[in-house]
Amino acid sequence: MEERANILEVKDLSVSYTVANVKTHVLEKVSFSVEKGKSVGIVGESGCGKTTTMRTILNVLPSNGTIESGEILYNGENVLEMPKNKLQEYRQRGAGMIFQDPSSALNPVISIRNQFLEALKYAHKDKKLTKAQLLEKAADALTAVSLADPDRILNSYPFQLSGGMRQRVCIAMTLAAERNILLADEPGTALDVTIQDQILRLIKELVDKGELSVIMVTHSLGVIRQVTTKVNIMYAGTIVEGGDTGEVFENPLHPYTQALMDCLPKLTGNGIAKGIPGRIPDYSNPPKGCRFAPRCPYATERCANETPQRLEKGNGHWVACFKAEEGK
Amino acid sequence: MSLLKSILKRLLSSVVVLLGLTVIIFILMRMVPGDPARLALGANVTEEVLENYREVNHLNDPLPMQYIYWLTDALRGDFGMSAVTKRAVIQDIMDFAPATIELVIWAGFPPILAALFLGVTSAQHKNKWQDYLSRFLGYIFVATPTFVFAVLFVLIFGYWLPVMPTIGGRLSPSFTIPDITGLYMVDALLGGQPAAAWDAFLHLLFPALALALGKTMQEARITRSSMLQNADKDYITMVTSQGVPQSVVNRRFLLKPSVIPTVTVIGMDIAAMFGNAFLVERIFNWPGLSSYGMTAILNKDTNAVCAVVLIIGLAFALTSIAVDIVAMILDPRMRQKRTR
Amino acid sequence: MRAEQKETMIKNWYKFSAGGVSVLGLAIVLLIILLAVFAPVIAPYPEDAGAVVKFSESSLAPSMQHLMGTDTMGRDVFSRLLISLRSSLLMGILVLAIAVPVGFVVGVLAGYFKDTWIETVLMRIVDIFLSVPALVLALAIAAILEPNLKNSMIAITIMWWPWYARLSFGVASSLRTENYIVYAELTGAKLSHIVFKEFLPNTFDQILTKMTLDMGYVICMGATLSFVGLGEQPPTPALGNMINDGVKFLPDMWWLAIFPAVTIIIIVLGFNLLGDGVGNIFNVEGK
Repeated sequence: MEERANILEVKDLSVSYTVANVKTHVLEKVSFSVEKGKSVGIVGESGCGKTTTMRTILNVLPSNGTIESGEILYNGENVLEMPKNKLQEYRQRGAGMIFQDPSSALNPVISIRNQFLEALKYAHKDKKLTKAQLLEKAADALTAVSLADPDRILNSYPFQLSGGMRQRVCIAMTLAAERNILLADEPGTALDVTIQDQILRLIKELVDKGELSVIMVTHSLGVIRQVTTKVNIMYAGTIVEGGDTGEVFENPLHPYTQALMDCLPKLTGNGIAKGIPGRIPDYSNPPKGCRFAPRCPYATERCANETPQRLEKGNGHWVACFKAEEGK
Repeated sequence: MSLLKSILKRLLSSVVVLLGLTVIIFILMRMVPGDPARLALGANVTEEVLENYREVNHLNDPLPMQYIYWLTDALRGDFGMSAVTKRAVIQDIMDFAPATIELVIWAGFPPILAALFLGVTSAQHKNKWQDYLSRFLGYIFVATPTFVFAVLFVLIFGYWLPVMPTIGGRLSPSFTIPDITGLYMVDALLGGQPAAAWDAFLHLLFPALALALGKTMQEARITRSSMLQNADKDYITMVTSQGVPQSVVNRRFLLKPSVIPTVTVIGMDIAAMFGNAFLVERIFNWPGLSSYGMTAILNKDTNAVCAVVLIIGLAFALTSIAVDIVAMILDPRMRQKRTR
Repeated sequence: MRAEQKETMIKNWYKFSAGGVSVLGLAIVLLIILLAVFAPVIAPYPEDAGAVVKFSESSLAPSMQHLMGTDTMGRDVFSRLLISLRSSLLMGILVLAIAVPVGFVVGVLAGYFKDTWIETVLMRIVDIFLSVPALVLALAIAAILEPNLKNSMIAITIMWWPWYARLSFGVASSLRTENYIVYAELTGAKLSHIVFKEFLPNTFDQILTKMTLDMGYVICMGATLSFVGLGEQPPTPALGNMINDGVKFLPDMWWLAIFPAVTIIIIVLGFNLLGDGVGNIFNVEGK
């Protein structure tokens, strides 16, 4: 098999949820890819489908979620159609996720030690590690996320730890599994800034060593800038712009991206961020054309009726907006 | 240690509650219309005898003093004489209690496994025939009062398909078994009489089923809904996403948090069985404490009623303490919470 | 506004009927209420509700004339069953009408004054009532009083309010520190305002769900008391005493016990299913 540049490719992924008999189209034709040993960011407001994307990559949607179409290729193989044992192996060795909500991602009635053991046992299945070796890995990972007393942590139950500690435990558990891809869903939102910074640096280090590919999901542009080399801007279940992080930050093309950048507090300049008027649309009845059209200051009639296609702007930078057509 | 401390706290609050129960029982006892001495001795005694009885039983003292006397006697196991059997109430209770204990053990514990099995199966086959069948039966059985089950079983298994060896009693008269534990099935087995044990089992089966069926289905329902609720929780998604095989996820990560609500309900259910046993024992002629209590209630045998209610309160308290301990072992969070 | 209300109603109906069987429950409950209200009109032999003897028609099996047969006195079982629905429903309504407000006030006060002596006293009393199976004390109380329908209702009410006290206590003690309660306190709201304007709306959904389920269970316990002779007295028909009469004639005259028995099951089932649906509207787990 040839060596692929992309370890993971998400192609035309559409996902819906059914809530109280109403179908909500949460993801609409989401496509992006992750290069081996690189980190990719997904930015967007809360509720735009970032977490759903992450869950679908691991094929762990909640029971009311349906994958309408699309594929997720891990080393060229479609995760969504893998047989059970293949899928399990992919989850053990291929990709792992840091959950967003640390208070709910740990089992409340099982000790941290046993949760680590169970997870690592499968992740390191091939290496035939002893229990002591697995625990050592766990302790190392806990130390790496700056939890000072790993033994005490391992002997605790989740409710005995603070929110920040639990989040770090989740991060450590995922990192200790040493999978190929890390899906990080808002890592460190419950942590104070220094520790968050430390964890981001740790992740970046692993990426720089070429051991890890990362998908970093966040609403924080700062985090994206710090960690990722490529970025995708997500709005209401669609990806509206993508490219090299630096390029997108320097030269945002989509009105939504531009608005996001304007929201960043600037050290220079005066006044508070402008904010984006309006709200994310109702997913049960999304706008027919561009999903951003109702909030877009430049929207035309065409935007309301037609879905804009991706438009390459060079250097891998692309945008899905009619306005960009005129621009060039 | 926190577990031990919680248990001690729990015991203490049970003692307080039981003392409160004695007050209620005492008030009830004194609410019975008519002269207690007359009620105890009947219509054909002279005023002198009555006065003597009142003096001996402190009935001329103020009520709080009467309560203290009654309570100290009760704590020593002296509940007075039964107006119906003309024996010491405590003697009657010792004689009748084993039958009820045997019944409640059988109705209370083996069905838990059935409930968990049904609940788990139902959840794992959600919206398939297994699930529909168990939910359908669940709705019907939960809605059926215990005494209706008892009446239906007597009709069906006593007359139409005579599976029951005799209607009523704990054992067919042709068997004699040694008196060791007072639990007939156990005694028969200990005495090396498998035929008698089987006979005792057939006598037990239907009263126990009548007591258990509604509760079992209720427990199955709770297990099912908490399994389904937890299955979508992040901590289950997390282990699934870590590539832990589904069977391990279910067994090690999903089952434990899901049975905790069931366990806490089981305590209440077993305790409620002591109440429902009042009717089941009566309908099946089961010579237990509850049918003794029922007879006492219908005959206004106050001493016996008080004793039975108090004993059942005690059994209730012990069961719920036991259940709380199990729940504390299963759920580390409960060890730290203040138990009530 | 009207359109919004309509939308809420449609949404609630969706949630209510999501379980599928709740609609069946609603239908059963409505049917029972209608039958009870119009029992004297519907019953083919309304006079059979009393001490009537018709020897010529005694002990008949079910037929077109007597859908559910007749008892040993020749009275029509179907008519008696219809009439008995009235006292059963009345019992459910009256017991809850007293037990729920009492339990609510006690529970909310205990919750609002959590960690004071008021909580300790009130909740200990609640615990004491919950320390024996309800049926046992209800039987004892009903036996001490004169055996009749009214006293069986009193006995059940005495055993029922503690459940609502515990429910309201749980809600109130967790809401107590919420900002809007604290705010109401700071602005000098009266206790009655806090109890009825702040706590009541927040407890309402759980109480309503439990009440729906409990209608069935209260009726069931009432039937149990009357089964052992501690409720409605013959010749007035009640579900329990009809079964008790019928048991004496098993297995030959099975219709005497079976029809009332099935009726109880259907009533409790109806309220259970309805309660599940109500719980779905409010996202409350039934008990």
